[in-house]
Amino acid sequence: MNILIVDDHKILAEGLAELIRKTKDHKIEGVITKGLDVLPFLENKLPDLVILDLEMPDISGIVLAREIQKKYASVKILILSMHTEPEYFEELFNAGISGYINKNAGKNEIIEALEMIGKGNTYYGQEIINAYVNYQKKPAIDKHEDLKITQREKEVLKLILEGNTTLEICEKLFVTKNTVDSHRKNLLSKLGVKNTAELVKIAIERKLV
Amino acid sequence: MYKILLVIFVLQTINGFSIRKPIDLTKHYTFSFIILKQSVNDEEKFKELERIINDKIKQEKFADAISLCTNMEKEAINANSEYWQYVSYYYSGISTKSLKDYKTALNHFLKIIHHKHIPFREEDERMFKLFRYTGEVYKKLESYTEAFSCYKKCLDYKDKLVDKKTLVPIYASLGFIYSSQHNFINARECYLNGLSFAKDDDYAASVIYNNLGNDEYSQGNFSKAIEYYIQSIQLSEKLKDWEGLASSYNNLGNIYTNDLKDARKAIEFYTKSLDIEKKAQNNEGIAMELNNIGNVYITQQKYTEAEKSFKEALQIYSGVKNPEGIAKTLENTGNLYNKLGKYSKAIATFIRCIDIRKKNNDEINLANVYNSVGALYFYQKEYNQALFYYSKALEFSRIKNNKNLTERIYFGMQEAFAQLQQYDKAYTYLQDYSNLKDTLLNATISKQIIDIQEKYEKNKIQQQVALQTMEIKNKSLQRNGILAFLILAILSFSSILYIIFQKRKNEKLLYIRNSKIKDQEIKNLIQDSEIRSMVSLAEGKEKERKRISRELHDRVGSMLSLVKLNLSNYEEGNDPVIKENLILLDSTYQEVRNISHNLHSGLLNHFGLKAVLVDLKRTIESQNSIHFNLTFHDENLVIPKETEEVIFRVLQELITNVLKHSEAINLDIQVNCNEDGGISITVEDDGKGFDPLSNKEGIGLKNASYRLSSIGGSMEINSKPGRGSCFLLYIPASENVNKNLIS
Repeated sequence: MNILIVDDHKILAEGLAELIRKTKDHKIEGVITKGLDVLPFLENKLPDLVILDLEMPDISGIVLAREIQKKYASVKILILSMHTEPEYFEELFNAGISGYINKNAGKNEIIEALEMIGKGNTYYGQEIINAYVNYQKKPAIDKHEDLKITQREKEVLKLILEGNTTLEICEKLFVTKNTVDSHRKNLLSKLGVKNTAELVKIAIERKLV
Repeated sequence: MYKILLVIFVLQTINGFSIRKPIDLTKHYTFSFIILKQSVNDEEKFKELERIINDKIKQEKFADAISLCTNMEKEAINANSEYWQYVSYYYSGISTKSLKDYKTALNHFLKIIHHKHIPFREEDERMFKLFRYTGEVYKKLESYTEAFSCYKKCLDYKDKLVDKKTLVPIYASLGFIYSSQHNFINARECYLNGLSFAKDDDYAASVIYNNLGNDEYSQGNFSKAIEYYIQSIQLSEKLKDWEGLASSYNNLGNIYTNDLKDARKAIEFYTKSLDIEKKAQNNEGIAMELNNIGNVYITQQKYTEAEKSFKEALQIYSGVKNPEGIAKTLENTGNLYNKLGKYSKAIATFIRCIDIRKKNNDEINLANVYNSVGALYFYQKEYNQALFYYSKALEFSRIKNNKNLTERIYFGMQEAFAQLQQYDKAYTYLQDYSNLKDTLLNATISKQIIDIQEKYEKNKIQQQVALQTMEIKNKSLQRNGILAFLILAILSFSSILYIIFQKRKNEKLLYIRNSKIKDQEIKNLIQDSEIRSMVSLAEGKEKERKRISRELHDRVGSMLSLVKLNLSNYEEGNDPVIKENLILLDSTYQEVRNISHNLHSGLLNHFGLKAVLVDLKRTIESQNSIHFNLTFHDENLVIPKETEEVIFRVLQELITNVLKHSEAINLDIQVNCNEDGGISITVEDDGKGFDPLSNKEGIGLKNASYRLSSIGGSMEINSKPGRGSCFLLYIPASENVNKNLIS
C-alpha cells in the first residue's frame, strides 16, 4: 500500500515511517506533521492508507478523518492514538475508518494492522475493543423505562398527591420553588407525562408512593 | 340593529345556505338579500373549486391540487363554512397521500375524523373513502392496529355502496393485516370475502390469490401455497400483468429454495421470473432474480455460476445506483466466499456491504452482516476483532429486538471470550445465551398453547363476556362510588390535620433559621473575598492542568511510543532484558496516560458534557460501590463549551464531596432543560447529609457557587444531617445557551 503518515510529532512520525519502509511491503507516500496540510496534500496524491493521529494542535483528528472519508471514500484510515475511550472509537467507526490502534502498539501489531487493512479487512486494537465491548454491554445512561425515582422526588410526589401547591411543598420540605419545580420536571420526564394531572394519575396507577 | 343582522347571517350560514326569508326586517331586506345571494354564489364557487381539484388529482398534478386546497380552506374560513373547510382537508389528505407524504396526509384525515361530528356523515361514499384512505396511510406508516380499525369502519358502509368492487382492496388489506399478525384464519376469511366481490376483477383476484399463497406458505402448507400461486399466475397471464406474474414466479422459486430444497425447480421458476423482468427491462427485478439464482447455485455448490450471477447483479445495481441492492448482492457474495473458504475476501466484501448500510441506516440488515463478520474473524482466530463485530451486531439486534439473532450473537461472543481465556466474561454471555434461549422456547410453546386455546374457546368466551360485562358494570359502579367517597373524606380530614400541625412546626423552625441566617451573612461577607481569590486561583490551576496534561500526553507519550517501536524491532531476538524493559515501558506509558487523563479529560473538549459524565460514571462505578444514576432528560440539549467546562468542574467538586464524606449508596444526577431555555441540574445523594449552615463544608461549595455565578448561574443546597443532600444548579438561558432546533 501507499501510505501517508500524519502525526504532529516529527520524531514519532519518522520513526514509524522507517519501520514501515523496512517491511518492504509498503511505500511511504509522505510524512505530514501539520493536520491542516493533509487535505491539500490529498488533492495532488491519493494514498491507499492514511495513518492518523487524533490529538493535533491545529485540527482535531476526528474532524480530519470525517473530511477525508467524505471526500475520498477510497482512502482508508488507520487511527494511531493514545485515547482508548469508547466514545472516540464509536465516532470514528461511524465515520468509516478501517483501523484503530493504541499508540503504544508494538511493531508486530502495526504490521498486522497494515496487512489486514491491505486485504480490505479491518483491524482494531485489543485495548480499544475491550473498552468498547464493555461499554456496549451496559448502557451508560439509564433507559427511561427503568428509571428509578429518587427519595426526594418521592417526597415531592407524595406532597403533590396530597394536593399541596408548590408553595406549600416548599414550606414543608424547606426548599425553594426552583428545587420543587426541578423535581417535578424530572418526574414528568421520567414518567413520560406532560402535566401534573397526568403525573398524579400515573403515580396512582403505578403505586409509586 | 346590527345584532339582528348578524343573527340572520349566522342562521343562513348554519343552514347551509338554504334560502330563508327574513322574518320581520323589511327595512333591511335588500341588505340581507345581498348576503344571501353572496352565500349561494359561495356554494357554487366551492362546488366549482371542488371539481377543479378533482380534475387536478385525476391529472396527477398533486402540488396544484394542494395549493388549491389551501385556497379553499382560506375561503371556507372567510365564508364561515365549516363543511367546505373540511372538504379542503379531505382533498389535501388525498393529494399529500399521493405524494407519499403520509404523515401530513394522516394529519389532514385525522382533523376530519376527530371533529366532534364528522361533517360528511350524510355522504356514505365520501365517508367510505375517508376511512379507506386513512387506513391506507396508517398501513404505509406501519401502524397496523389503527389501519385495521379504519378498514373495519369501511365495512360499515358495505351495504350502502353502489360499486361493491371497491370493497375488494379493503378485504385484501384487512387480510394482509391479519396475516402479518399470523391470524391466518381471519385473514383467509377476509381474502375469500374479497374474492366474492372480485368476480369480474381479475387483477384484484390475482393479488388476493398471491396473498393467500403467502399465508399458506407462512404456515408451512407448501402444496396449498403453490396451488394459490398458480391460480394467481393463471390470472396474471390472462391479464398480461407481467409484474404480478414475475412476483408469483419469484414466490414459487422461494418455496422451492427455502423449503422444498428443490434447487432445480427453484432455478426454473426464478429464471421464468427473470425472463419476464428482462422483457419488461425492469433492471431492479433482473438483479433481484440474479441474486436469487446465485443463492440457489451456492446450495448446489456451483460456485463459479453463483459468482457470475452476483457479478452481473452487482453491475446492474451499480448502474441504477441502488445502494440497498448493492449491499444485498455484496452480502450474498460474502456468503459465497465464506463457503469457498476465502475468509479474508469474504470479510472484505462484507465490510464494503457494511459501509453502504451504515450510510443508509439499514439497522436490521446491519446486525446480520456484523454477525457474519464476527463469525469469520472467529474462524480466522482473530478473536478480538470477532468480539468487536459481535458487539456491534448485538447493538443493532437489540435495537430491533431480533431475539433469534441476539441468541446467536451471545453464543458467538461466549466462544470468542473463551478462546481469549476470559472465562468470566465467556460465562456471563453463556448465561445470557441460555436465558434468551429459554424465553424463546417458552414463547413459542406458549404461543402454540394460546393459539390452540383461542380456536376452541373463542365462541364460548364471547358469550360469557357479553353477559359478564353487563353484571360487572352495574356492580362496579355502585362499589366505586362508595369507595371514592370514603377515600375523599379520609384524605381531606387527614390533610387538614396535617397542615395545621406542620404550619406550627414550620413557624418555629423559620424563626430559628432567620436568626442563624443573620449570623451567617456576616461570616459570608468575610468569606466572599477569600473565595473570590480562590476562584481565580482555581481558574489558573485549571489552565495549568490542561497544559501539563497536554504536554504529558503529547510529548512524553509520543516519545515513549517511539522508544517502544524501536525496541520492538529487536523483539525477535528474544532477549530477556529487552522483553522485561518492554513490559516496563508499557506500564510507564499506561501511567503517563492515566495521569494525563486525570489532570484533564479531552472528552469534554471533543464530545461534551454528556460524554465526560458518562466516562466519570464508568470510572467511579468501577472503583466505588456507589450507584451513580445519570439522566439526561433532553437529548438535544446543546451547551456552549465554556459553560460545560464550569458545569463539569462544579459537578466534579460535588461528586468528590459525596464520595468522600456522604457514605451514600445512590448518587443521582439529572440534567434537564427548562421552558425558558435554562439548564437545571439536580445532584442528589442518600448519604448522611450535612448542615448547610455550618461552615465545615463551606469553602468548596462556596467556590462552586462562585464559579457558577461567573456564567450567571446559581446553586441551591438542600441538606440536613441524616437526610442526604440535594443540590440544584441552575444556569439561565442566554444567547450562549440555546437548543438545537435542527435536530
